Amino acid sequence: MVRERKLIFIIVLLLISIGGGFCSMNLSGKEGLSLSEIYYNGNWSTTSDANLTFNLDYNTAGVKSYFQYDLSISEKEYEDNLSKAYIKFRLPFGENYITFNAGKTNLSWGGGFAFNAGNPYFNKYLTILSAYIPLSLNFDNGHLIYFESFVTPPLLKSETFTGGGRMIFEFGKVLVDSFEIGGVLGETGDFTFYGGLNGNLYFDYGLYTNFSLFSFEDVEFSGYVLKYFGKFNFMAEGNYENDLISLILTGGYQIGEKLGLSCEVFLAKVGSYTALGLSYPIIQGLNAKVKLMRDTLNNYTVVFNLEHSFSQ
Amino acid sequence: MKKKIFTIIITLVVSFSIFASLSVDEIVDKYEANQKFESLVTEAKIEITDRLGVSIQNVLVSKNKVGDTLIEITSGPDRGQKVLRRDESIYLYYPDADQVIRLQGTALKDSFMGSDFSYEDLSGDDTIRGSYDIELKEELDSSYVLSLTAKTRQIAYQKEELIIDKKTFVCTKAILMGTNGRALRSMESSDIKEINGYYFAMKTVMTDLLKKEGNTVFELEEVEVNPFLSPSLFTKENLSW
Repeated sequence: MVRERKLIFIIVLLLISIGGGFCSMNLSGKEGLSLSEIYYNGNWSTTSDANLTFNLDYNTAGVKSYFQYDLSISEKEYEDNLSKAYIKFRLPFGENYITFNAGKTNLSWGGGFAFNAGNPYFNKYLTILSAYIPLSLNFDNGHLIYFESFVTPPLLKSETFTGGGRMIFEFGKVLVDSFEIGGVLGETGDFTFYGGLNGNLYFDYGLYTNFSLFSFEDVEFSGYVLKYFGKFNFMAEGNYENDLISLILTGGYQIGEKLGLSCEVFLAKVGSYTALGLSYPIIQGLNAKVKLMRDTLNNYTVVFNLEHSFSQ
Repeated sequence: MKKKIFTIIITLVVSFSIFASLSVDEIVDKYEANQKFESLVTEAKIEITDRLGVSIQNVLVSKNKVGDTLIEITSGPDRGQKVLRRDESIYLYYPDADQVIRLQGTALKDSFMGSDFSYEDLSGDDTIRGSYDIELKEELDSSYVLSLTAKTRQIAYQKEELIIDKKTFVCTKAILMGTNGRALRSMESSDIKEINGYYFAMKTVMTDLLKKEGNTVFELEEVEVNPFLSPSLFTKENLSW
């Protein structure tokens, strides 16, 4: 814990020094308040929580630093987390750049909102050293190839050494926009292969997979299709892992100028639910949301949420 | 006597060529010539007025000669977000999630960051000849009125009516329509300035006619014509920078 705090302190100092002080950094963030009414086994109960996110960033043509601190308070627990604290450098390389990244951030591989088999660390934050290198660039034909490699040095107690890389082939075509292939080497020497494909076939689509080269049983697939029809948007996401299939269907519709209606259906062997939501911007930067969820055991949850975002 | 007749004929020919109306092709040539850049970088203020009040964002827009466009939001509520337009694809970058989302086709008609402008209005190739059949609807004292009909159904606005200023060949007013001819957006431009031999409307007011109230004012603050722009600026890699 002390080691982690020390590391955070050093990173923050470094960020501030690069940014030339707080005055040249940009501050933004979000505050949110939620109240949930839960009907479970014939009884109603209430929970509430609040969360706060601060972002500080500094950006020039050659250096970018980003710092994000999350704070969450519920009736039973308090949690704070430095989710991002990284510095990026880039050096000219022909008409492109080689980019280096050091610090805590998420690995932005693959795609998807609820599932992403293309990213072994989906929705996780890691301490990463990485390099993003252009290999072949033909802008006129839209053909671009990049190589990205990363290692996670075990600086924090909770982290272990892993490393990996991916090749990104951008075709710039409608049917196949890009194709990715790569893998991750774990601490125990196991190698996980990963592949991804993005494009448009009436719907925008993304297909991703990962599997262990030594055990084809550990295979995971995910995919999504997405389409905007003006005021209506539709998305379907699916995932296959450990012989289990999960599916999420979401739709959104804008009623009038500001009121948003959303519908979500989650289908899985372990449990399913349906949800209806309404969102409305009360004033600039302040949004109100209501969400009603019902699961297959006839339990209900109603969530009221207020979220305010700010930027300076 | 011969000399006199010759002088009169020459005078008539010159006068005719000066005051004769331009053909549609000539008007379009001049209109497009004013929009043909090797590259263009603009800094602008976007003021969105709606029922909730007024919000102001600043943007940096970089465009190359084929219409690839990068829009970076440099201040305001959505600061840090970026939009890349390449061909008919739009890539949106959200700094919080560090994620790039790709949208194809119909999303071009969607509102840009809650403003009255669509992605199509602010990005892509501004030339019209390749996409529209063009007719000269009317010639006014100081402007031409062009009527445009899309050549394919993939074009975001199926019909347009443009008012082109006779002196500068800048579009000072436009009505943008859907398939059935229903007006979707109206645009009015003013404060025309010459910069490096090109004419720019420094202020543009866009109104989404499907909304009950409000509009968006797009004001150019800085304009740089034909600066060097690295091709890497218009890549997905650069979006997440």
